[in-house]
Amino acid sequence: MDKANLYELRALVPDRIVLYRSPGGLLQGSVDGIVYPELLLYRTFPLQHPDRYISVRAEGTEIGIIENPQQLDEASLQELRTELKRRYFLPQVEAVRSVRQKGDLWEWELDTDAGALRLRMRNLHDHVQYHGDHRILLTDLNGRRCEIPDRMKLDTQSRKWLDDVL
Amino acid sequence: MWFVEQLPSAIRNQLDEEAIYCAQTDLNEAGQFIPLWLIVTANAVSVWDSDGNKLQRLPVSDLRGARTIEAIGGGTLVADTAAGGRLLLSYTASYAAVFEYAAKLITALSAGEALPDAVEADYPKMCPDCGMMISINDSKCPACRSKSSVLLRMLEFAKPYRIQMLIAAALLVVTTLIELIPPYLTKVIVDDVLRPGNMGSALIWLVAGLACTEAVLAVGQIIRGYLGVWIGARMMGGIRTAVYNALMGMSLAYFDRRQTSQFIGRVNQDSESMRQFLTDGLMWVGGNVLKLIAIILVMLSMDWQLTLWAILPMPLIILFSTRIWPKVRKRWYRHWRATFRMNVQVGDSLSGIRVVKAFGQETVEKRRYAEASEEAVVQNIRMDGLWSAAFPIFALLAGTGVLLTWYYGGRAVLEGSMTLGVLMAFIVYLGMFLGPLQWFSQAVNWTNQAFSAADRVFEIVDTPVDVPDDPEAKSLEDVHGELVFDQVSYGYETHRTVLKEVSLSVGAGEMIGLVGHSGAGKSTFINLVCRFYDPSSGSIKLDGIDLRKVKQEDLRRQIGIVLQETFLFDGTIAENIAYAKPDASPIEIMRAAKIANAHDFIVRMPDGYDTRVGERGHRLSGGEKQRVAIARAIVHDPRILILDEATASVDTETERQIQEAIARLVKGRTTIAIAHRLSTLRDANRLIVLERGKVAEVGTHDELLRTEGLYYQLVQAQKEMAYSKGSRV
Repeated sequence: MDKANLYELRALVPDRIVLYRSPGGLLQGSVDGIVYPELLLYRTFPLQHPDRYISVRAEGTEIGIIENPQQLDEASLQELRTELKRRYFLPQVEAVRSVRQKGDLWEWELDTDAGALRLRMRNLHDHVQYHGDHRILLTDLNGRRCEIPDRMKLDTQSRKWLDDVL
Repeated sequence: MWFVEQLPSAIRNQLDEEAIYCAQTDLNEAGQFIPLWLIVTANAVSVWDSDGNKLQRLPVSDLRGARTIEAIGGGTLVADTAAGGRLLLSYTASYAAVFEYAAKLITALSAGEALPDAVEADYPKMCPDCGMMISINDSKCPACRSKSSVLLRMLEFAKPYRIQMLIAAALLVVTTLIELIPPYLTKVIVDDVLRPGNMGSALIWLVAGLACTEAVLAVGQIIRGYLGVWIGARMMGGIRTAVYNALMGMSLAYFDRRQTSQFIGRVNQDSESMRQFLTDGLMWVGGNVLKLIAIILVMLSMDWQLTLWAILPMPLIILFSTRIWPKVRKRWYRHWRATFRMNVQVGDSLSGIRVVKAFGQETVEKRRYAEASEEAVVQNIRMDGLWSAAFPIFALLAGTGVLLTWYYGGRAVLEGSMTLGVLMAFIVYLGMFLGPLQWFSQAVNWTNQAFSAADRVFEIVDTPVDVPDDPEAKSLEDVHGELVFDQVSYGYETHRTVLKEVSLSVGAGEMIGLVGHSGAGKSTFINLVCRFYDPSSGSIKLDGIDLRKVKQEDLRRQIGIVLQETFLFDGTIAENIAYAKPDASPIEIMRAAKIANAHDFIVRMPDGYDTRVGERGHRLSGGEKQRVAIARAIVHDPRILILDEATASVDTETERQIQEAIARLVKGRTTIAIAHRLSTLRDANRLIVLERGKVAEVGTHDELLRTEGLYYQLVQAQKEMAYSKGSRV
């Protein structure tokens, strides 16, 4: 790669990308005919556009940006999704079991797509982050995070718990 | 070993060879919260599930090493084989240190090297009672702590004032009992004195008695109130000082791991909540419980049936109170948050006012403020609305008790089974006792707050000091300033070493320049010399004495530091220069300032050396601050001098002045200097080039240039930078 390109954002052409998995379970692929034995994917806007503008990197340098992964072929798209899900570990909340104050801590009992999760917070204002009207990001004392993608889509009981505290 | 015992028996029973290491992860291969186990033996690395199924097995002979790939909220452990990388398992962020170590261990194992030591501190701490993870900021599980021991320790703070507290308590009992006398006297007056035909001679005595009790009550309450304030203020001072002293005793490593801002709150708010509980809280709860019991006893003794009617609404009031307070708290919290956001908004736009104006964004900021303000208004109305509704409802509930008393008591009076005086006494007593009831559940809340505050305070007080003074530490008198590093290693986190086996000797009076990329370990090197941290292995000796064997105060007296980010304390320039030697004479201070090239600009200021600087004072420029800091170091007159990027971020002329000042300062002192601008290290006797925590090159500027090694590259890179900067301007 010549030097000028280092300062230029490179948009990757979806037709020229193939992603697949190595026998050892790592993401590999070829971009513009060059084969990379190990690829890492980064979300550039993890909250605003989690599924778009994906940065593809190998050995610490960026190969380019996939603007819209939907245009990849089916198998590559599937691998991309799997990889992003693994790299961005952010359980999605499916139901709120309870939100209670215990001593000076707030304790959340949640059901997520990764299983039951219990979070503890010292207060709500530092640990509950809003994105838009209905999306909520929860972070606990130990830095563990999970996301409520849309509070309006939760069941009534869950919404009631949320309304009580938020 | 300790970690093998944690293995589920389903796995342990199947192990055919001894495990060198095993660790649990909290995620399975599908990213679910289901634990898996990594087991390392001398021959193989394997991954198991809790039921004892072996998911993967890699013979060590196939391995080239292992590494972790950091991801967001967690990571993956990957083994490298001849056939490429192989994913072993994933984990959440709390297990990062565990698998960081596992990777190191597997790599060492596959290369046949000595195995690194396992450190228990890397493991996430679990609360033994509830199984939840305990964060690094807490030494104990915040949810499961014993309240009784906390109470006892809180009372420790009250101990010095126990005589005063006993007096206050005695006064409390007395005043409470005295409060009960007037209604009783009223009863006597109504029943026995105010009768047609009574001569009224007893009336004057009874009224005098009433007056007396009122007077005694007033005096008692005044003394009690004053005592309460006195004890409270003293106690709070004691708690604050204890916390602050504990904080000052902590090593830098303690502060590195935490946000400093939280301590300000801890020191002030937490001691306030504790004081409130110990003085007001205990007194209030104690006094009111006593009063309630006494009133009920007196009422029962007068007429037990009427008493039952009178206290009939009591459960209702308690129920209502437990219902209403959580709501009030919640709304109060929302209101607090809205106000908080509004304040943040003001602070933000005002501190960034230059940017706001420069980009012409005033309208946007105005609108944002208006929105935040509107939210605060809404929350304010909601909160105060509830508040103003709550009290009439309490009054209404309390009123039903009075109504019941009037009705049933009145009927009894009409029937002649009870005297009018008793009825009147009842009404007064009722008024006294329904008041405190509505506050009871709030008192519970206060208590909770005080307990958690106390817990945080004790956490600080209890934290062991990482860099303790050796009990047999020697005091240092005169020091030559010869420093010897012997195989020194250090890591801020145990699994990541920043300095690796650095050996170096610095002669007395020598000036050493530390050079290297950022993150190479330069600052760590300096932190170790100051003994802000102790090396994980190896030793540092000053004049042949291990730093650990020297009293820290004495050591710091020999060390002077000029940092890039100069911190001036709130006070005058003179006070700041004389920080390390408060009794320095004005002549000494000026002499130091003169050497530091600071005298002239200080004298030109209207208030001269008495100019206030720091947070609220006169704003000095970066270069001026630097020179004040150099003057501070000169007054301190240390044998060892540390310069950390002292000339960064100033213009050329100022740099020249600072350079001059430094050149005078370093004369005859052992000096260790860090600089990004390599030209500033020209005077150094030797340069030490650090690369990834190791000493890569040692030599003078010219020697290092000749060898064309790492230093040469750094110099070239800087020349290129200077050139491109120059061409752009």
